[in-house]
Amino acid sequence: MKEYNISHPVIKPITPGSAVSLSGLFFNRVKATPDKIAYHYYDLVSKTWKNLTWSEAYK
Amino acid sequence: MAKWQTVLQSFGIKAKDKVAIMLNNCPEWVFAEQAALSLGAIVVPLYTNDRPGNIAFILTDADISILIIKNDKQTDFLEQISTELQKLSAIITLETSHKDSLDTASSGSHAGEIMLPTYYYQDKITGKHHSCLEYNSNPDDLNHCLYIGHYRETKGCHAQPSEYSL
Repeated sequence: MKEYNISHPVIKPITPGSAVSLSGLFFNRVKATPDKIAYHYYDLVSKTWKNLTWSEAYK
Repeated sequence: MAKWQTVLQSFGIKAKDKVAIMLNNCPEWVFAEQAALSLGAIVVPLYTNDRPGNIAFILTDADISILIIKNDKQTDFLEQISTELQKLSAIITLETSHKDSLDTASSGSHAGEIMLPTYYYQDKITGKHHSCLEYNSNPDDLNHCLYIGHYRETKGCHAQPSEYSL
């Protein structure tokens, strides 16, 4: 059975009205959770899996 | 993403322009896509293993301004459709193994027999300040143009890809 972390902060949903567009959704998500992992990808140069946060993706 | 906005803006990309992305799955795919959308441009994804004829048709039919590819090995492949590539404002590469030839191309000379307007994306962001702009878009604005290829089994040949707008 999956164990839930009840102390984990609840992320307020981004509504279509606040996002308006796909890029608006991206900007809203960067503001809402800048330090959360946005992408988990395999780096072919270092041959390791890497993470990228939303704030890093914004830069 | 802000860096990719700088790159696209340096080529004058604006709302309604079309940007083709011919990359495998990678973070840069998403950054380039988001940067284009944030400028109000329209993204046209291309298969990395598609036939040159299909790529040529899509580049012309969609009136693509910018083509984003991984490296100049793809440029060698695309030289088969050099006539269609000449209509582009630029081809942007994520990496280069033949930097000298790209520098030559970006200075207005030609690399080999065929002139390709090819630029290494890092050259467009070095030493520049990057800040994100957000186009004031409408929910009904066109975001993506997808081209789907059809295979005619009865005739055993490929038809031209069809456009679907999102």
